[in-house]
Amino acid sequence: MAECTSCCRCSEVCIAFKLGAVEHAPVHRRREVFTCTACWRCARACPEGVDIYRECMLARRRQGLPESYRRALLRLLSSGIAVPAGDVNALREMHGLGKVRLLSSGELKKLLPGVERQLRR
Amino acid sequence: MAWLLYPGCMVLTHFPEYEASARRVLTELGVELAELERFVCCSSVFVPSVSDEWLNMAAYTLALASEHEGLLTLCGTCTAVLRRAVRELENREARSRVNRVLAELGVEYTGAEVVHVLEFLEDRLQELELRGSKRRVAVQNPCNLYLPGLSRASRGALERVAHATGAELVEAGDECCGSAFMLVDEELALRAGRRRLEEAKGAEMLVACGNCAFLLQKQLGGEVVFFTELVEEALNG
Repeated sequence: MAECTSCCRCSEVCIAFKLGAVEHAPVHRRREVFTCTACWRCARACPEGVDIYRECMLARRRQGLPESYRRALLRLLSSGIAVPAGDVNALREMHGLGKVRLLSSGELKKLLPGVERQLRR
Repeated sequence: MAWLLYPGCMVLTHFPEYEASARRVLTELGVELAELERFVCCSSVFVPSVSDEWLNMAAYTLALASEHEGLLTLCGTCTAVLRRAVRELENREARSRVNRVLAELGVEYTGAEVVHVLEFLEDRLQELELRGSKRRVAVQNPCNLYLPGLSRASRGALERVAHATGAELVEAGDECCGSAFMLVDEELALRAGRRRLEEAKGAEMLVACGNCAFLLQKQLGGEVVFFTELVEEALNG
């Protein structure tokens, strides 16, 4: 398993750092672990080949969720769509696209039983 | 065998024109497309931020694709997440565990290739007769498509598509648009996106991801064109 040496090259290529929104630290160890566009320039820049994506996700789980993520997850559990949505099939029809069936909340709970329990707590 | 075209949440809810133009261009290439009858999010950055159950959710769509040639994607994020899932599911134990969950929903994952339409088109660009684009475009790369170890596209794919259509290319650097900042810091997202539009110097942003289009066009009112729209126009040029 590749290990971080804190060289901070990941931070130097990070757009959040360039815009002055986060501290200068290894991306997966900084406080603002959610202030990330998931562009993964950090992962490309890492000379050690650290799986920064995975490390960031684990750091997020330790830190707890911002409200916007909580809302997105609740949407995911009820509709299977991560962003606010209107009538997607009406929109599809207007563009000559076939209808899709969205998964039911029962089906979604089967896919994400632990997430459902976690959000309910 | 037909390919399954997966729009992802952002294209499904905001940019049907992108999916529709991709369908027309792929049909022109003689690609057979199956109907995506059931839709669920790939799990995006949301589920991985809280649980390893993201793999169940990503695998559902991959299971649908298992019955076809593979999965064609339109967004960078979906592509990266689904490819990570394919890699995780190479582990027999993980695959069995996920398939036990999927069995309750009546599907099974047996293997699937994930290809972004940009990658697909880049490989087969010479098969299309393109000409006459009068557009002036600047490239906005779909960052997630270039996750290390999981990328197939070359960094210049959008430039090559633009060049093939005859569009004028404006050099605008290669920074991320900042779209995903919207989730936690809207002001920061707008600042990053404005910077990209300034770098485009009045050219339209050529995009290959619904998330980039959402920030640059819907939030900032910038001029945006999907690469499939550019190609479709040049087919008739």
